[in-house]
Amino acid sequence: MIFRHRRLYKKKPESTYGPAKADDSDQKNYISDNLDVNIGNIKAEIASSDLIVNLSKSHPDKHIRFACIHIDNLISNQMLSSYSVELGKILVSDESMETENPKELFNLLDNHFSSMRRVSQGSSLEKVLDSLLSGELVLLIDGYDKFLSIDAYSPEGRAVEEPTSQSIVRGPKEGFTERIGINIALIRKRIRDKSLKSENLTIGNRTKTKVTLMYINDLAKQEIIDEIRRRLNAIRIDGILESGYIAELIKDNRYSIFPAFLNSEKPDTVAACLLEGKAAILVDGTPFVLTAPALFVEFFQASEDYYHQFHIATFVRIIRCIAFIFSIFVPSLYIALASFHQEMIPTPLLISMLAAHEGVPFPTAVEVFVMEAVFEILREAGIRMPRIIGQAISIVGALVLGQAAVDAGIISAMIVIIVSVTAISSFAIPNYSMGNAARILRFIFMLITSVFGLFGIFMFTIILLLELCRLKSVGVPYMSPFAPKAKNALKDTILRFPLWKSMTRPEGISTDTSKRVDDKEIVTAKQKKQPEFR
Amino acid sequence: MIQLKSKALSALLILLLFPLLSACSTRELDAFSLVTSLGIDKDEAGYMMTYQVLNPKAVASKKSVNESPFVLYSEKGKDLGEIERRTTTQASRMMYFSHIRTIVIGEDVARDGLKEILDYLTRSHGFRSDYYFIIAKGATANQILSTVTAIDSVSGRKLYDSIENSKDWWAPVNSLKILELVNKINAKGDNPVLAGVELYQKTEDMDSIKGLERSRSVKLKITDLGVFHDDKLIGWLDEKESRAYCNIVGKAKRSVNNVDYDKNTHVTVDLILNKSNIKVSLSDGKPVINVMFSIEMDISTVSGNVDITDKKNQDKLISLMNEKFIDTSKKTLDKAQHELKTDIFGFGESIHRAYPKVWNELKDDWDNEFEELEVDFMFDTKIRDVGLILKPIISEEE
Repeated sequence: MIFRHRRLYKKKPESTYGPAKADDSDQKNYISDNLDVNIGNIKAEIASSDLIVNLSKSHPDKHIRFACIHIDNLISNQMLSSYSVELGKILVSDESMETENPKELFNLLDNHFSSMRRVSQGSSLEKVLDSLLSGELVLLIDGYDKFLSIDAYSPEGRAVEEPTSQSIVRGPKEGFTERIGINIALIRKRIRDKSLKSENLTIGNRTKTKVTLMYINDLAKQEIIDEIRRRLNAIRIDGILESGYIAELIKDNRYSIFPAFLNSEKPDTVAACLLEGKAAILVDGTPFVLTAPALFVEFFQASEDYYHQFHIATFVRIIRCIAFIFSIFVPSLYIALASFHQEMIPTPLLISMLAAHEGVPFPTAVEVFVMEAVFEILREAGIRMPRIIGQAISIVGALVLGQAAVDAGIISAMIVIIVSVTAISSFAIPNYSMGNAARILRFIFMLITSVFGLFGIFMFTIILLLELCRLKSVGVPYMSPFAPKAKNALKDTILRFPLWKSMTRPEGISTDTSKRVDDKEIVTAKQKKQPEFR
Repeated sequence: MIQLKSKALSALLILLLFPLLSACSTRELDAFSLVTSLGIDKDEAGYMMTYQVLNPKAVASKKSVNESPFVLYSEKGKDLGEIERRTTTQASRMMYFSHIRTIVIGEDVARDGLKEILDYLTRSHGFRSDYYFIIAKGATANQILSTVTAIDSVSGRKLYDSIENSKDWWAPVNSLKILELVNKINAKGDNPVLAGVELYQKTEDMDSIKGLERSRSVKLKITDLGVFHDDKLIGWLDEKESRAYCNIVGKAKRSVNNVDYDKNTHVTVDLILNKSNIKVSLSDGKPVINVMFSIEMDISTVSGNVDITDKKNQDKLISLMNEKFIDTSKKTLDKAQHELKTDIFGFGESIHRAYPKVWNELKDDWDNEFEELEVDFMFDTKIRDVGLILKPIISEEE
């Protein structure tokens, strides 16, 4: 029922989402001072073969028994062995040899490990279980009713690699990984600012996924951050496996096909967003980081735009906008012109179209629909299939579907051109989510056009623009700075003004709207006299 | 919940109905015949229409098809709308008029008047307004359109391109599109002039692509201008007169002209800029027309031994050129005033714009007033360039 609840942010009874949480007052849920009882309790709760319990004594002669418990594979062997070495050191120390009091030993261990690792202690059974499941080593000492948990979480994972979905020519090639700690570090190493804040949250009753909200305290608008935090805290779900879950759950306009949050695999993009006063939402287990609030224009900007000269960046952005428009409108415009408004086609072009269409059995709309559908199938097959078959698919796609279908006279050659232009254009949109929105819109436009012609295109375009102006991302209008207009922010939208002219933070998102670049000294130096070195 | 479901269901049903709708207004590419040109001739029944329909297979296909590039459908009837529908008995596809390039009108039809034709063409929403009107001179429109021409083998398109190309480079050619034509017919102080087309080389197989196997296969040319009074053709202007007409009304863009410089020398000039400005003044309450020519020319050929770089010689050339302009202009004006008796220059409209009150008195009897109209010519002529060489390449020893 999790997908049904209409008002996500109203708290519902906990029981709806999962098993009832432990009642803290219950005596049974505290660990006792009897080691065997405790181990029995833990084993009863986590009845799993990968729960590893090591029992030992503090000293062969003395009878302080203790247990070291962890879950296999969450902790690497290297980590385990270094832990045992540390433990051994303590146990052979004079203090530990002398003591006979379990509490003293406990404090001794606590002190020693605290200096190296994140260590916590507690007394509830629930916490023991939590610690175990999040990859901590739990130490229980017989005769003392507290446990010590030592952070040793070190599962196998990918190293920092080049992002696969957002590749660039110039700029940092590091990409986020599946481990949130590394991801936070990647951002932090770019912004060494004391006011870069990160807040940890745990979302998902069963997955207990770590989610971190990052923002620069004195740049971000507090209301926006509060709103994001409120929405994150209100999520009740059994599991979060990817940041897409969060994006879908906390979106403002839930039925909209446009993405409300920018996702990025690249730490430099996220750092740039943070510097604009936006917030980043990092989710453990995925390299895709969300930034919020996101504006429509942001989906047409790439981090690289700022690394190249502003001339080329502006040019490329214009190209991207054209590509976006092409990828939505080209097939439907072709349908409209070829089956409704032939008077709009220049005569020589119409003649070639007529010649190409001679003997083709299907109406234009059907041709376009079939070929677009085939292309989408090819694309989907290309993503999902095993890499090795790739070549076969491309041969079938290019030769059989393209050339043979035209030669056989089943579709006209124009359609192949139309589909190719559309396909190439759709890949020029830098953001994949926005590309997906364009894909759906393209089919809607094609359907409407095959019935209403150009009239349909214009009517639906108006509807689409109204929809875009209605959308919000965390309360910020999606179409800003166009609607509502913000003059300063317009300098970095479709055009990219030079840094020294444009760098202000977008109004409505950041509290600090002062200039980000101070070029006074450079300019005055220039005015005095440019030095010439020969 | 039930409400939501039924809403979704009805939306889905409406969506499913969409494809059914499409049949009513679409016009698939293979469902119509592209008409490139219309020919209108006189017939006992009323009119004979000739539809020149393009055969895209033969024009644009990569494979060589041994078919005529176009097909003619001819049908007779009382009026054009009737004929259009009757043609469906001959043609397999609907006629599609939006891409018509020219409308060729038989000389007889033009002499009887274009009113009915123009009413049909402007009223019907199937027509665009960017085609040229051409009068078939000494031939029927059907003959003109049946001709397979070289290079651009569809004669309807060839005529359009000929006019478009020629009117920019050769002063005597001009024609009108439908809006201008209707405006000129309606205006009291202006009358239309349309290009004529001539079939100057009749051969047996001129309506077949076989004729294209010869190199001398150009059979159509744009010729004299047909002069109208209101909507009726009343005469023709020959090449010289056509040139003078275009010069006066300022429609000539670039052209070539020549003058006899002295006994053994003639000079040909390339007219680069050829503008005219018609101004109206009043003398004794009567309007006087001043035509101001602004001419810039390049020297294109000098046949004798004349140093054209000399300022004196240039001045002489200019005055000779002006005289020639005056001479031809006066002759043409005279023909329009006394022989054809129609104001093709739009002088009436110029008076209308400059002196509306005077025009109100003149307009009812403008045809007679036009005969008496006084027209002056003025010049601003310059030589811009003498070409890549300054003196004749073979200079005679003196």
